[in-house]
Amino acid sequence: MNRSSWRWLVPLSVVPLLALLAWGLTQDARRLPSALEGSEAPAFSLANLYDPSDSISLSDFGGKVVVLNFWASWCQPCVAEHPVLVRLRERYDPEDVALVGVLFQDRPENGKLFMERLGGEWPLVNDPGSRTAIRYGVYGVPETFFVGADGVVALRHDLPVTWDLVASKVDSLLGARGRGGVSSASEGGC
Amino acid sequence: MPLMRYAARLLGAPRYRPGPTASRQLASRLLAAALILASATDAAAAQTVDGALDGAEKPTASENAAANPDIENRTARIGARLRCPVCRQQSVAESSSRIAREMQDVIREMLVQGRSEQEIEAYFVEAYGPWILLKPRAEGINLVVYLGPAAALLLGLLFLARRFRAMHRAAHVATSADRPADRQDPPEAAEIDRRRPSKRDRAWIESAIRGS
Repeated sequence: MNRSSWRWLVPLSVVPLLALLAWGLTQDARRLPSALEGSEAPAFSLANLYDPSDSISLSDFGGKVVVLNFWASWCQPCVAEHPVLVRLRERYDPEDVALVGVLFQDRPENGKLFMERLGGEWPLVNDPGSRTAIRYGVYGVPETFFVGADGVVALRHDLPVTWDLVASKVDSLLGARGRGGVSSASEGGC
Repeated sequence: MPLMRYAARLLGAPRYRPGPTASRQLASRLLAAALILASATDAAAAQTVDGALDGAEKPTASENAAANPDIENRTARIGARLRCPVCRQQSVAESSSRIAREMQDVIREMLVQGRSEQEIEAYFVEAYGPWILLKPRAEGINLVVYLGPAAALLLGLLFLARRFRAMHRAAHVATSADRPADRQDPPEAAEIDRRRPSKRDRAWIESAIRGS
């Protein structure tokens, strides 16, 4: 290796390293990509929060767009996103879009109390031992999974959902299903 | 700030995923604790967040598995290779967080079902992604982590060897320059050295002269 080659070797090895470090600084280390996006949503069958003898399964919503929301009564961001979920339930036909709440590491009584205080009606299930949450790769709440009518996870959102996000994602999934979005979904702002 | 954090802990604020900033996270925890305390007043029942968690359905690990030291050892071994989703810097085996304990229960149950350690790791990787492994797999871009230090060491050694050789050559040239007899060009000096008679030849020449 001659002298000029060595002269280039140092910048060639150091510059990519510095570029990698600079890129790393622009990334949010707390955000993690979901391994499930693009994969089939794991099946589950969990007890209804209001009637433990009744179970609710993902397969009950076959052919629909499913918004699967992991939440807890002790989670303040869940309080913040709740109005968006209420609006989702009001604006979209349950025949097209299913909203399912999975209670995460919480007591069923507290979950019911939370819903009584904040309102909203959609299927709620209990997840003892967080088995379903672990299967979905949940690491905190709120986390929301948007599952297409084909049963494939289109998006995992690990922060409180916003109306813009919900409307755009649900509309695109409904569009993919071939029935088109519900017109009222994109009316007005939050 | 530590005082506020201590107050939050006293209030029993749960640990959930870190929020956008530490202060916002702390505020969220305090608000969550306040909400639960308010709920407790309404419901005329003592319900703190910790209370809520205590009353929640617990993971149901198999008692047989817990009594089996082999299962426990293997659970700990697999748990040591998985990252706690909440603590991030700790393994599932080390972490005392609730999700880590639940993950250990899942591992235990899968071992009881006869699943291999590789299958169990694959299960968690499928759910959480390769990030869940504390030791990245030696494949794809991860190879940089494994090969990078060795390559850097090799380059460093090559660099040092080259530097030493240059220093040695410079020292040799300086020493040669000090000797008046060797002030010729290096190739010529080498030729003179080559033609110089050896010690044995010199002894033979001297004995021949003495004999004559």
